[in-house]
Amino acid sequence: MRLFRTHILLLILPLVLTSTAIAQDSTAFYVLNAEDMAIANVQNLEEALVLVPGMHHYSSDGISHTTFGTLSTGQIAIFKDDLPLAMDQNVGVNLRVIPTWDLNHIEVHIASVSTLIKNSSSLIIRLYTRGFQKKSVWGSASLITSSTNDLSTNIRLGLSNIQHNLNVGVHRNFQSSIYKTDGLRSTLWGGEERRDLNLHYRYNIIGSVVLDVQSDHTALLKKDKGQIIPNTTRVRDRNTIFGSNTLSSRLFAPISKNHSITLSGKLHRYSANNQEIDKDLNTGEEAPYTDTSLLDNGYRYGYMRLLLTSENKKLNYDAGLELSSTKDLVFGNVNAIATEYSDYAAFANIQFLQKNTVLLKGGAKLLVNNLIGYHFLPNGSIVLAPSSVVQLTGSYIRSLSYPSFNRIFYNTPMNSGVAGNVRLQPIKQNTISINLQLGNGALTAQSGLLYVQSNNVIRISKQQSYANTGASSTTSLYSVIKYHTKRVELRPYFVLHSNNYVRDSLGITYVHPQLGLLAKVNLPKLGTSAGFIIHNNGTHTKLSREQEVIYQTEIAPIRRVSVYAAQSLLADKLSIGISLNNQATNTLVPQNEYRVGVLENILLQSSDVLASRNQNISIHLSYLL
Amino acid sequence: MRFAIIISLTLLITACFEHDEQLPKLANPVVTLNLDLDKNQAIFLDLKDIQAENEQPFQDWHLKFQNKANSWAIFLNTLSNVAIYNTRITQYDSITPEYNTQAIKWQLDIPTNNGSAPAIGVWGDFNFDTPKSYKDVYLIRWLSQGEEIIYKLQILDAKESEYHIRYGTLDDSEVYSPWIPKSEVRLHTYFSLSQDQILPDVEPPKTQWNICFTYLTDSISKYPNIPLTTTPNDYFGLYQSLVINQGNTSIYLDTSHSLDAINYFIAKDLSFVNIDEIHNVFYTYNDELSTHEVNQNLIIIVKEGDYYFALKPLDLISTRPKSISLTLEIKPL
Repeated sequence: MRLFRTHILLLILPLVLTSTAIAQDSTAFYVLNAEDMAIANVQNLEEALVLVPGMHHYSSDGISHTTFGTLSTGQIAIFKDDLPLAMDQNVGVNLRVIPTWDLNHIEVHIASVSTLIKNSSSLIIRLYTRGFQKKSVWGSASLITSSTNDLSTNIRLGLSNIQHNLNVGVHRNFQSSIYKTDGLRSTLWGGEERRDLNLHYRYNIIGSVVLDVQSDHTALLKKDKGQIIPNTTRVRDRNTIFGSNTLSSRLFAPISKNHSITLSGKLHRYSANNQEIDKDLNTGEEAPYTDTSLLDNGYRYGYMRLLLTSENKKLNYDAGLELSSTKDLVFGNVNAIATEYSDYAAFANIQFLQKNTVLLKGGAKLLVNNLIGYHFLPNGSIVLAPSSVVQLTGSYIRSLSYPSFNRIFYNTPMNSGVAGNVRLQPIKQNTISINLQLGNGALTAQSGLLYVQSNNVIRISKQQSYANTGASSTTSLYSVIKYHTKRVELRPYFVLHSNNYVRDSLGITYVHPQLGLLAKVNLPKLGTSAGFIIHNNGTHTKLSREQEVIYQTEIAPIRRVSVYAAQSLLADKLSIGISLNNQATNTLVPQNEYRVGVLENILLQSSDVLASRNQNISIHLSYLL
Repeated sequence: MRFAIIISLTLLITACFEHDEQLPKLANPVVTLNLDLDKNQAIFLDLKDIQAENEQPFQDWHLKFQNKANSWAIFLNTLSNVAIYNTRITQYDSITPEYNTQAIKWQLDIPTNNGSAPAIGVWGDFNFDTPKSYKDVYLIRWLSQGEEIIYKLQILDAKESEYHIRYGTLDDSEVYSPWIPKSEVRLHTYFSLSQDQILPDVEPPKTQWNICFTYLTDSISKYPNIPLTTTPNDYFGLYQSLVINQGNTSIYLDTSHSLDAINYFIAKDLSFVNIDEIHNVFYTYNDELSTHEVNQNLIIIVKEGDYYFALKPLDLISTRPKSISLTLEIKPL
């Protein structure tokens, strides 16, 4: 009943919105704009995160692995237009369902103290959609086609009379299959077809009072082809249909000269339906395979936040309340336990500027979850010389990351032989960061040290159930430089992770280096632009512990290179571009799995993992009405 | 706008999932199994990897030990006329050549609806972590080149993964006391008393066979019209049989479909059964003609995980009762 009331509230208190923040945050660790993503022909959030310094990505057995040091994507906060994007990031939302065609830019923040944080805050990814245009009617269409038979098309339409604004966009993206071996049927990564419909409405009610309502809908069909069963003409394929539907709104209203209030809400439904199909390729007969162990997933998430903000010359503060709930729509209860939880939080942050020399920030959040109880989450930072050319920031944040939903609620058969644990505590993340920013003109640089200690990491116990017995830590040394003029932009970066995955039992730390460069040239008079991205990952070594056994996984170095050039025509209405993607790249890279022994490691398995899509050439066309 | 329309059309009609290719129909392999009581007593078949050559060297084993965890059955090689008698005496030394073996009723493994029950029976108390033997002394006999050999056998205490036996001649001129470890790879461990050693290759690893064509004992009164091979027990004869690897295989006997009609989509909905063995399955015996005739209406569907196979007997040649030659068509489904 309480959940029901929460959702009703979310529906009847809609919301507005502040204008979508298009301006990029100069304190962001890294920013990817639409042009950057076009260079690598990025089509979804998973592909976009590959371009973020510090991120490591590969796919194995049809499952994507994206990490930042020891942090999985479940421990990284992701927001879209300042609202949580993927629920509590503990239901395994497929990041390929999140489109990027509607994004203006993506910001990456390290150890950022912010009221927007729901839980994890060591690393924050913020997605910002494109804003409204001050035209009564406008439209655009674009098409990207590639030599690997990929196709991405979208049409966007905007209407505005200043008071009422509406953006509508439809998009279809098809990415062809990647096969294990040329000529063989089985796919390493199945073909995908994604269809998106995005609606964004803004009502400028009066003065600065703004109501935004946004609704995004995505359906992704993935078709994995199985191998032909030896000596037969039979195969077993798998179709997976992912669905994501969100309705969000935000109401922003100034209540005094220095104060404003924002009420935000979001409803999100996410589903993943698996269907295995037996086919006879001789007769064409096919039938569903019903003994599958794959479970369908479906979740509903509700979120609401009331935020009071005060901005002054020296003293700023904000405070607010958060409510959220997550409910399983497929398995309403497991072992007579309702598969849902709610949490409530109160937060307050204050920042004080002392003579432009020191900026002090501090705050806390008190979170109450109906399963795990109370958690007090303090944060604080000190910024020395906040407005000068050299700026030094030190910060500490404690945050939470919820365990996977299935590990809390699902029983042994549903969890591949491991019993869920409704008393699982969230992973506690203690983050310490030192950041040095240099420059404020054409040349800027950020360098620093990030230390994230994760406690209560989930492990499988001897009793074959999940328990909070693990610990891990990551120390990341990073340096990002940005040089930009009107025509040239260069952004080299370097990240060195020191990862200790099993801090609870072994003191072994593995180093994972990354080096990259993004370069762009823009010739406004000719209407020509070009750029390239190089992303080099060193050997990535991971450790995991199951019961008393420690396993080590080594993934060979990965390099990704993409080059792009575009030409504007017809007074910038038409743009034609070409990109060479995944050049000098191995689609497959070796992976070795070991059982860690006292004297030496025992090799268990050698295989290949999917590092990137195949090399291809893409043609980009876009037309602005 | 025209450009937008073109894009819209492109959006709808291009870059779609590839259609499935059509594969040609595959020919079914045909295999001939030559079973012989003297030379080729058992043929193990791995249906996923059918070998044209299925001759197996003769292995003169006497005892077959069950390897399954917490299972302790010991079987006899009835094909070599191995039989046993429980003296109910627990003093190994008290059995001497003077023991009257003439009046003994030799026992063989007993066929039941759930497979063979070992003649040795329950040789200990299995309610412990490791069995506690009753220490009964058995007499065990077999034929070697036509000569009857009689040993005495005592099953000593066992470890978690090992059997411990003592055996030897009645006059104690030969006494052996081997440990016989359970194998994790095979269903049974085969032991030769005459060679005092384990014969490792009698049975393939349990993941490498589905069915085994061999001879097994069964009640003579149950098959009054079918030729048999006699045994030391007057009530039991040896009959051609099919042993099923229960660890990975289940079967279904189908008489309603033709081999052409059967496919995976029919087979996957059948009710497969787990059974140890089937006797006299592929043929009937024509009394008037005194010949074996293949059962044309029978198809055995074998299931191993997601793999299905339909087995149809095509031809049978019998030089009764010693040998039999069976030709099978095997259709992977």
